[in-house]
Amino acid sequence: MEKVILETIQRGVHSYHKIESFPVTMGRAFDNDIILQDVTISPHHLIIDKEDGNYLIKNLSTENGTTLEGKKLGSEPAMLDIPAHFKLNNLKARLLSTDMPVEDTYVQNCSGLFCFFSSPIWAALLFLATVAIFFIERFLDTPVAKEPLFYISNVLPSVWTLLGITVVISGITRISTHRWEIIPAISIASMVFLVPQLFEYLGHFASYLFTADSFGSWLQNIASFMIIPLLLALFIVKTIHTKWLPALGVAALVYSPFLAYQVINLVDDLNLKSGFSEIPGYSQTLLPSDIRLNTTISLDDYIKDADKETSSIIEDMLIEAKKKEAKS
Amino acid sequence: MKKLLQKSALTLFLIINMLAPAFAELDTSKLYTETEKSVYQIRVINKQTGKKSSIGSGFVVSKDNILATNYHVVSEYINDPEVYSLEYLSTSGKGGTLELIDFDIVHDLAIVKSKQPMGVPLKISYLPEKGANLFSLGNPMDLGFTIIKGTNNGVLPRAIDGNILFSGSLNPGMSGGPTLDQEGNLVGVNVATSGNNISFLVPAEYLKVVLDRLEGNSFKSVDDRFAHSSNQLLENSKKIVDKIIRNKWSATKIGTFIVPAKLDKSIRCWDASRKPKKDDLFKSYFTRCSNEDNIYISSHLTVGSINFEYLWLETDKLSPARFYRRYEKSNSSVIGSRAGKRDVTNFSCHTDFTKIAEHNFKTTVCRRDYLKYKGLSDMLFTTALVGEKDKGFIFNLDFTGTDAKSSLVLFKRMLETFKWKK
Repeated sequence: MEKVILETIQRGVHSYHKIESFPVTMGRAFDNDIILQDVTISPHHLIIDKEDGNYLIKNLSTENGTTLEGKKLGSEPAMLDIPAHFKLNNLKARLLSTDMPVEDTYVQNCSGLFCFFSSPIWAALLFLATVAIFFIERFLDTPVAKEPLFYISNVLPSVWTLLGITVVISGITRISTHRWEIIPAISIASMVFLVPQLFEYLGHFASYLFTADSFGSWLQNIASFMIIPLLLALFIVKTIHTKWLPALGVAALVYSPFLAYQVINLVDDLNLKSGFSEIPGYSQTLLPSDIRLNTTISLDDYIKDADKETSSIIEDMLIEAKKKEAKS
Repeated sequence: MKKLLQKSALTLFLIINMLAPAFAELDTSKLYTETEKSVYQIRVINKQTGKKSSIGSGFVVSKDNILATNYHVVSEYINDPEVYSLEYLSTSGKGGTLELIDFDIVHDLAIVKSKQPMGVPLKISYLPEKGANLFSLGNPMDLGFTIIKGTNNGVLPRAIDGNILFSGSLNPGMSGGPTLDQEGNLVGVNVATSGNNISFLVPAEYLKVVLDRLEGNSFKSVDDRFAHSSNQLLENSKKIVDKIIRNKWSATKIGTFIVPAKLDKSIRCWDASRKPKKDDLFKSYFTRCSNEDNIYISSHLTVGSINFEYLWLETDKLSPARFYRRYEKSNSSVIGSRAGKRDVTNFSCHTDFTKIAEHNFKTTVCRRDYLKYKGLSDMLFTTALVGEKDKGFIFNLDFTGTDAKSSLVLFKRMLETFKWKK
């Protein structure tokens, strides 16, 4: 006799029942062949039978009912074509053939960036590097002599935040795979702090190099909007073995509170740039290394350039303002 | 006989002493009686509500239908004639409408005209000697017309276009009223007070300049008020900047730089260095200079300020990365002005590296122009020493309501006088 498999998906858990004899009854009562523990399922919810080589499904539920391929079933039996998708209320089920091909085995290989993140040594180093960055940043920002305790008390809240993010990230794997992937979570949480800081250093350097502070803000935006969600997605792909698109969706969801904050900041920034600002926007970065593309020019040349450039831009602004006034 | 003589002398002395205040009172009341019919309350009326939005005083001068007052008394009407109108109220309670003819925005004067004769014009005279009695008339706080006795303390030396220091108690509402000498001649126009009997008058000679100009063109009204203001402000700004450029400047040492400090009598410098702390790992010196001059344009807009500041930072204890973190935080300059988006454009800035006193500086020029006052700009200049790992030096200079080209010349001239001295 041909064997079929009945798959039920309950709370993200897939259960497979090998069906060898018909009819098969499904429901919450204990006299069913397949017992489903869900209060939305009727005690006797449906029957699957086989007649003349055809599979039939019959809904018995008068409460929440059954849908087959998206259509609600009545009290009459309906034909099932394997593979068949049906739902007992919201509980998904499939009737499958035993010779149906299965997905390729996911080979756990330790190549690439994630292997590096999964190594306890590297995770510890990344964690220590992040804590060190917290200290260095606080130290650079304090141009007065302070006791070590001052720095420790200032850095501790950031370290707690880092650990909190580690728990949140590894919580993703706990929910879906029932494992705490702490080591890669430490690495990813550290990178969440390290990468924006690295981009800030790069942006600062570029702002001075090109004598334009916009480079810094663009690099920071890239770090905020792209790098952190990508790191989270990488973690999800590698630990839960999902595809990139759903992983990016989950990453965006997890990151959304921070993302919303960043979006508000960016919109404010763009508003300021497009609207009126009483604050002059000019390149204020200063670097001790003094590495820059612009060479030093004479004061005469500078004054001529400055006069020419500012006059021409102001003239355009005045024309624009007149046009706006004429419109209103 | 000797006793009688002594008694008579004593009696005469007492009589003279008793009579002296009586004579003074007589002078003041006589002056008031003679001039009260030439002094009016000036009211700016909101056309929509018909109610007064601001008040001041004014007086008849030059012709019987011409009145002088302060620019700031009628500025709402000058800047927005669609919304506001101008009216007068006499000491006897009679009222009528007024029209603007001319104004001097720099010296805070305005000339208005009535359709009917308003009284006897006051005669303009020279300011009497320091210490002489002066009498101010006006309508303080809308309480009624008053006369106030005070003392002339001369023209202030510090301000470029010096006002008269009047030691008498002017109050709000008296602005635009006349100040007279003992003979009843006009010597100044009430303009401001700092309280405690410190008041200021616009010298009548500035009013004479405007009146002479008007007499020359048969009291023709100004066509374009904003263009008229711009021209006056630009001319004044150029005059001030040119004068500063021609002056011999005193120098001061900030860190290892010798820089110009006192550019003009009108500019005062103050040390604004932060108080050193015990655990400081760097030294910082800060000097701030300002012309402390503001020309009133409207209730939220003043121009004419010239400010500059020098900041020196040095360390032998901080690493370059740590020192520059602190240095960079100081490299931020703004203009202290309340100009908004209806007044000015955005700033346009140009930054590059320049050679000053044989050292490299990161220099920025920012400019924004006034939308209604053609040719008038706010200018911000800033330059920061670069390439020195343990030293920082920032020079900021800003002007409000100035001529861009003149201010560029002054900025360049100032930088050219910088000297490096170990």
